[in-house]
Amino acid sequence: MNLYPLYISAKLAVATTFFIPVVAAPLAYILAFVDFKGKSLVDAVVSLPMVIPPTVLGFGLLIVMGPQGSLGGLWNDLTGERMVFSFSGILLASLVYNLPFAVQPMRAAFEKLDIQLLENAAVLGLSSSATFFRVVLPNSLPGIAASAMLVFAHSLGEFGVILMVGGSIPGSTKVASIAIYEAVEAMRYDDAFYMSLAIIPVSFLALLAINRLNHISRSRS
Amino acid sequence: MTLKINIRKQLPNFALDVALDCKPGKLTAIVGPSGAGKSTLVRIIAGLEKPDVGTISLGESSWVNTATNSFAKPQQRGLGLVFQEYTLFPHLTVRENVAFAAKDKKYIHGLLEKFGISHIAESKPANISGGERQRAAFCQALAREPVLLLLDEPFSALDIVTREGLRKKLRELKSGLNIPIIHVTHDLEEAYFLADSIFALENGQESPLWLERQQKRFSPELQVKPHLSLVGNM
Repeated sequence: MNLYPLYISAKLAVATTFFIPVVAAPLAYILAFVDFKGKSLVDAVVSLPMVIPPTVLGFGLLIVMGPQGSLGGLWNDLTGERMVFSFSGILLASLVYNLPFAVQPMRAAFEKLDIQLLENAAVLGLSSSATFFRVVLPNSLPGIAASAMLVFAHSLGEFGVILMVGGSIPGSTKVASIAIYEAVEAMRYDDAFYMSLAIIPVSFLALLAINRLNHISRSRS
Repeated sequence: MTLKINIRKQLPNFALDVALDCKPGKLTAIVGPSGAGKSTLVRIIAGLEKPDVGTISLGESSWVNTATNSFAKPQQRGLGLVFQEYTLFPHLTVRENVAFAAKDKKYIHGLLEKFGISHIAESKPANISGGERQRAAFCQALAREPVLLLLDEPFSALDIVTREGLRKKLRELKSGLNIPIIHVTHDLEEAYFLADSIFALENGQESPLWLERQQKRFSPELQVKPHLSLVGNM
């Protein structure tokens, strides 16, 4: 059995979990605390990947990230490489696909904070960004960790979006879920079984951790 | 430096319309029934809300001037605020909370000693009593050497014994602070005990009549406090 797809899946899940807070945390902060015109629209756009079929999202990303697409063209100009059918491409697709799964738990954790804590920080002289790092983040750690575990578990099982954007290139974009699908199609049931067996405990442990972190978060509030 | 307030803000049921001067070293108590606009006034002074029209200045510094559309953010005002509820940062110890915005860290130990909480300096807020948390909140507000001290019903969530102790501590402390102190309370007895002047607020307006009505309900002993004077539009 080729274990490389498992490695690619783990690499994708770790990279997604690592990079997604850069976008998700500020978005969650803005959605939790800032009132602005068009907030519902931004909220809906962020949540969209949760409700549209992964193949539809993947098709949209394929157009944008393709050589003729705005993002793909820019990437090609900057790096000389194509964005689709590469690990960078599936990482970006994974970040978009997982955005609501990162933003929603973080936003819920931020909204649990007493607004007077933030007002006190402002009166004590802290800027909004300093308040975010010195007050909001340290007091939302269980929620942020739960968000990270959810993204990690969700990334491990990605299929449709990755297949559309990355295809199935061995050693580069062929993740475990695609390898399992191909093994079943080729009637290599043993390969499909052992690869599935490798993923289930990791996902299960991630869910246990999420439940535990949610419990900690609830008991703190 | 004298704090000068002259603001108006439309609230859902009435307009908050206040003109008030607060002198350094003096404690002005703002009293009135629940929903009179007391806390909104504190929030406007702190910069957490904006008035519709008016000015707020401290000495030469203008904090709000709606005519010129200028508004100093809370971060720029350099004031100390003690809220009704405990607003210590839960992830920090008492000492770290007090040091959070301290201008000079060397005064922290002295402040903790003065408020009798040095023995819990390394405890987290969740592990100390309500009175200790509120003492720590006072230390936190004072550690930044504020230009103005705002107290928004700081004792209302405390039991009688703790409240008494903190009232005495504040009365002892205010003479040494050469800054204006604004103390919001719905407890007239507390206002009489602490204040150099009392500003009564009812439905957003200054209301000496409300104060008179309340005085009649109090014991004569409270009515003859010599340091009490009514302040109005100055």
